Amino acid sequence: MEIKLGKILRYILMIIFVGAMAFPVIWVVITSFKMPEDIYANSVIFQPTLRNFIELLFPATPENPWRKNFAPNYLNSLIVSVVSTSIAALIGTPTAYSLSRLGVRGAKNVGLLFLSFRFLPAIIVMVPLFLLFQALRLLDTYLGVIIAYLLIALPYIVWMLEGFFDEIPRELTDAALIDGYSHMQILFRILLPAAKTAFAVTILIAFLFCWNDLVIALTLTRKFVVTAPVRATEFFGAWGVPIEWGTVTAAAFILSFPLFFVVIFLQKYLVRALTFGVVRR
Amino acid sequence: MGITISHVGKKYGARKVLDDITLDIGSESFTCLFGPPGAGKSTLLRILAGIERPDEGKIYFDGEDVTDLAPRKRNVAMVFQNFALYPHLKVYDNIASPLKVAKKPKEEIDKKVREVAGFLRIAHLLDRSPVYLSGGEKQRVAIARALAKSPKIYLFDEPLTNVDAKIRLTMRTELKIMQRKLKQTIIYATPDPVEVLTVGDRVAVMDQGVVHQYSPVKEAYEHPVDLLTGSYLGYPAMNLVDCSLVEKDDKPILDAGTFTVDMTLMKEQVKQFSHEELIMGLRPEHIEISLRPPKEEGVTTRVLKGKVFTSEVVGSDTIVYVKVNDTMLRVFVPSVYRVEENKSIWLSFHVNKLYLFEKKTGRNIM
Amino acid sequence: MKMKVSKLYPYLILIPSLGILLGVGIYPISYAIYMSLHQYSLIGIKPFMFIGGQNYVELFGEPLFWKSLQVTLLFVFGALVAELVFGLVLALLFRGESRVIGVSRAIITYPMLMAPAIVGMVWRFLYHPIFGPISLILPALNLPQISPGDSSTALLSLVIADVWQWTPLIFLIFLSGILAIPPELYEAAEIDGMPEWHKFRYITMPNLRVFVGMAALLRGTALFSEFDKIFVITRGGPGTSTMNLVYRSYETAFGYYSIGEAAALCIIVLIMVNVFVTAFLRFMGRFR
Repeated sequence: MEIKLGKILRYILMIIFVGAMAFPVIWVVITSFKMPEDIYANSVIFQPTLRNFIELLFPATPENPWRKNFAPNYLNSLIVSVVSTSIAALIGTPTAYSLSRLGVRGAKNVGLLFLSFRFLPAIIVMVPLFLLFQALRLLDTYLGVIIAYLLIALPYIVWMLEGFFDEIPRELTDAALIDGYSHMQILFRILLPAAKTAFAVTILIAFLFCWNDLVIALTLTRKFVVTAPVRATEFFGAWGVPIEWGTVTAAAFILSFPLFFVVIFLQKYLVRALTFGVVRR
Repeated sequence: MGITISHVGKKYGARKVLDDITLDIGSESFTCLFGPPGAGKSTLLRILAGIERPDEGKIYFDGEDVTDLAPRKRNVAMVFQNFALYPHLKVYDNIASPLKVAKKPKEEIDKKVREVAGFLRIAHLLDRSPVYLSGGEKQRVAIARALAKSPKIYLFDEPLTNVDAKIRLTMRTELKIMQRKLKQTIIYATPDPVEVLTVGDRVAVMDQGVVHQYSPVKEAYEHPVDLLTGSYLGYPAMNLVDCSLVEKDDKPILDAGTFTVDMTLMKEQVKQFSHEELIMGLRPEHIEISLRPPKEEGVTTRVLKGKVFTSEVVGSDTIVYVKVNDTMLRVFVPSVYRVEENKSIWLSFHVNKLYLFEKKTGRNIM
Repeated sequence: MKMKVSKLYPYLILIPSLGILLGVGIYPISYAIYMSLHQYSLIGIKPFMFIGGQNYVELFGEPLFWKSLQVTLLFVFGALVAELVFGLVLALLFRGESRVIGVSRAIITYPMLMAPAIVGMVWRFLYHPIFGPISLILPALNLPQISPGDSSTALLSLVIADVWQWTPLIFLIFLSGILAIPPELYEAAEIDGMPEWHKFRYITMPNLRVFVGMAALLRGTALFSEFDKIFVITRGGPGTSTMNLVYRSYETAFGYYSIGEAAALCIIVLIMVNVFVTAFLRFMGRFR
């Protein structure tokens, strides 16, 4: 009897936890399809509508002056994150190769240097970055944000890829050297294919860091280059100010959309990627 | 292609991995780099391949200084201990790899790949992924890749270490046959004395970054220059007994504590070494064993009586461990020899088969 | 010539990365230190001049500083402990291998991938006094109301949101650790007749020690610089009940335009993180 009790308790707990984790997201997603009246009434049965999404994404018109025109912001986030991550990958991959394979003295130390930047509170960088970019007239520009995001993406990519490259046996790249491959050929034809998934995960997580960022975008943008998270916060004021929950939940939904794919594909490497390679299975 | 290694040195941190190595390796010879783990064999191979640079010294291929030359500009191929096959390519593409990089025409590549695959009997594996092959199969693919490149120098880094024991035997013979056919310079690193004795023409015995002896295999076996070479290059390992040389009745006697050996036969050679601490060396394969005391004994043959401690059958040979008073001696019998433990037994050996090493330096003084 | 270039090759590749790191990384930190020693107002109320450690001295004299410090510490340790505990429980519960468990794990993982700002939005919604589920469920369970609008529970509401978001990370770390424990240890214990509790205490926990350390380090350092959720949900309020040092720095810089002070606050946070890491590592070291 005692054994059964333990098992039942265990199942109950599991259900509670999964529910607690899933509930907020599900609730938000459901709400985003509700009409405002249904939201306020908290009705369980309702007529689903795409109204919130339309209100959110499209620009204002004389008939619909409340439309938020969020689509450009979404696009901005996408542009900035993709470009930044791509550049970081382009620069970072050969860097990781150099640190891992080309016998740089003190490669470990350089790697750790890259890592330590991840532990920086973003706030520290905010003010100086703001002043610097102000002086360079990079404030509120695509270039500025992209460069700043490189600060996030690049160290991460270098650190992670160096770790992954290190794990591939030396003999493999040695054999390639003897076979006659050049260094770049080794990187792209041997090392990356061997670390395919790891590479994909790293790039994706780097992208995610950029996509999710608030602090840097907040500091560096004003009017012209507003990314999605920043714009979304404009819908809020201090606690108590009324908010259009329909559009807000719709924004939350589409902002977390890419994550579905990430979670599905990345289970295996997720822990390692998110703990900066500290934990390996 | 002849190789000259000139005063090559290499350090890893504070540790000297290679210390002033100088070797002249002839063209088309099969040279073994032999020694215990950590001797520096792999490092030397890697320097020859170009994937590592020496801290000191130079390497010459046929007189040309290649010390700073990139691996792909040297005419070498290397077979690694863990095979180093590209996991994302099929076996065919692994073998074709060096040819593809050299941008050879497709037909030529195909011809060559099938040729070497046939030679190594792996033609049926060409379409497979190398990941799930057995150790022996993987190694054949690795060798095929080296053969496909058709270099002037072949480097083997302990290729049979990760291959099953049974396959190792057959592959050893195959390597010998391959060497005859190839007629190129081969350098083969191994810690296994049997491989050296089976396959090699010449051997460089290394330990701790130093070459102890470099000579034809036969000579290294019969006239080891020191304790390390003598004891390492032999299977089973040479019997080593501490002893000292004393004079008794005007005769030089080797006193091992538990038994003595009359060295009158070798009087001239051992004259200068009296009262010094020595180590006596006797190969297990030079001891004869019998259940009855042998008829002959004299100055040339020494007979010892002992008790069987245990015996070990290895393949179709036997190693018998015999205790002579308190000294344990290994005896090699080239057949399956059954004998009970604690049985009294007689050992005999020729005195001139004995080696004598200075205890201090390990030098062979005979 | 060819030889020389090939020797430099590895270092040449590093240049772009190091360049960016220096420019956008090291420079800001040094500049922040520099600024913290100056009086600098963006809107020119006060002239730019070197005042040494005066920013710091003034800060230490402000009661608001100490309040922020208190908020920061409460937040960090409150969230950290909760995340470690829940992460452990989750790892213990979900270490099986069935499809259901696999799906559950994917669901559990989801929150930590969301932008902290989004998480803030979600929870602000959940806490809504009128139709937010939390405000409806809690009274139904006879529990006191938790709301970001109430200064006594605002910080708690933020902690809950953070725990929801980041426990999955801790969970995954511990899961890796647990799955790395050789099953033979448990099998041997089973044969020996060890009760569950003992197995946990003598097999699971010692092997997880390293992972606990890693998780605490990762999460702890990040918690010191929490910004996004505060910005989205409470803006530091009500009053100052959710104003941590980082948010205070933000307000000082972009609200009062007093850059020197803001920089000083940042440096203080940086030092705190360092102290935390060092003390923690030493604490962990004792158990080796």
